[in-house]
Amino acid sequence: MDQRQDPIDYIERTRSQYDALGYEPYTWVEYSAAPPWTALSKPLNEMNIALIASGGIYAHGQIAFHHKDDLSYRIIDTEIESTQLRTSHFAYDMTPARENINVVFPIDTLKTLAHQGIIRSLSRRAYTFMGGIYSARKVRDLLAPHLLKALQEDEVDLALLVPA
Amino acid sequence: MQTALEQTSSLGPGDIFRLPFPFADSDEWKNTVMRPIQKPDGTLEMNDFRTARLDSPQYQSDADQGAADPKCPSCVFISAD
Repeated sequence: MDQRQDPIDYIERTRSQYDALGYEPYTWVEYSAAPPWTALSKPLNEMNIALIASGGIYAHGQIAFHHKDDLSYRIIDTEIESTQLRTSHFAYDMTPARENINVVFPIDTLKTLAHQGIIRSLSRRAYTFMGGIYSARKVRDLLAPHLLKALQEDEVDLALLVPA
Repeated sequence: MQTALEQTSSLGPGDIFRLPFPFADSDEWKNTVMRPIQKPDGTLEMNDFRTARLDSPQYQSDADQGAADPKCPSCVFISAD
């Protein structure tokens, strides 16, 4: 095995890529305040865990995402067979995810952990959207509050956010 | 996954836990991610595989498109207005 390299500095490479493509410099979102922190109060095997993913996952029968700052989200019944799940996204190579959706939406993995008693349960409803939304403000002010309200209604203990 | 979830009870704000699972046996793939590629004529080309930002639903297959429920009660659309 070769010597391991440090993690990729994606911020630096994004700047270089935008410059090479002749784009305006990417404007990063910056928040001065620290994010709120809530310590967990129970062990994993007592937790109802929610799955949220930004890889553009939708179920057969649902409307797919469009690729122009789509602010919509899909509610996925986690009882679904994972073979019924699809991906639609403009910004990543979806080949591995279309071979095994768990790459971007680890539904079967979490079901297995619930079956083994490692976690209490996988929440019945998962939420998916398509990342790469240009407006961070719209995500913060519109999409995120919807998802927060849904998670509170679902009475989850922990939300697992999976990017693509 | 279990290892990752188990960290949730011990990590604090700003902490990063690196899972002991490399993406590949070799890290050579990191050398080309988001880096220009030199073409035979010496010019540089950026490997940008992103697709066009179309404003209509983009289905994985025609069968999905045909099966899509236009009312779709589990699809939540948020107005930006």
